[in-house]
Amino acid sequence: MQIIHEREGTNLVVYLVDELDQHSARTVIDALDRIVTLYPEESIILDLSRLTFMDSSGLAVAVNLYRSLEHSGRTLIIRHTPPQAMRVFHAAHLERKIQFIDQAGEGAVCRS
Amino acid sequence: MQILNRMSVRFDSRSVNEAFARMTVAAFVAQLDPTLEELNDIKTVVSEAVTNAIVHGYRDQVGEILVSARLLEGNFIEIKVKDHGCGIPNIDQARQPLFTTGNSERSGMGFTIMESFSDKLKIRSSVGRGTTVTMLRKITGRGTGAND
Repeated sequence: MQIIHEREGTNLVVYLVDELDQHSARTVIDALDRIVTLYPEESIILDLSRLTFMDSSGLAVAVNLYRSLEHSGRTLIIRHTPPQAMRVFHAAHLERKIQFIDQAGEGAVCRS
Repeated sequence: MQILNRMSVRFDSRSVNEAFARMTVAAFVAQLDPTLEELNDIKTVVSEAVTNAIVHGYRDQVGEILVSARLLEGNFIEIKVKDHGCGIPNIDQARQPLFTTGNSERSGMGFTIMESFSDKLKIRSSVGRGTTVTMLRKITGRGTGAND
């Protein structure tokens, strides 16, 4: 699992590359914690366009990040979510809590 | 239902094997010519069940996980994930969304995802002896007639 981050305007975009499961979840959570600390002002856009698989470990990653940002008054947006990962988010009704935009492969915009 | 084909694989309860398990079952079910969504659903349920066996069944020790799959008459796949770990004391509680005995890497949604992505889910568990999760899923397929 590769984690890449870059600035986009006033936000920070974080790309998750490859597969996200329990095996990679700890690494991803720790890396995102470091990014949240390193950039204390920025809201985060989590870009999943390069994610090739995600199971429920991805829910824990998203919820951890959401809580960290919410704690400091910042927001999390998840964009370009592949259909497989979106089905996992939907099963957990996470779209009620987190804003999803521009789902990959569907061209749709889903807002909470 | 008549069994048309079957496979099984055993491996250690190491998290690095989660990808191996889901890819193996996905390769096996490919002979039913599933849609991409069906294939992804199969990978997801296998990943959830194997992760449960690793994280909750064996916890801090390494044990053996058996994954088996059977193709059944009518384009069904039945997948079993079996461990000889600590077992689940209360299955009804474990099936509740957000319930977990794991750490912050776990969402407590594993069984909910398995239920959502399969047609039938059966959990048999005995404390101190292990857990077997059985999932049944109809494969509609892409309609290219690859099933023979």
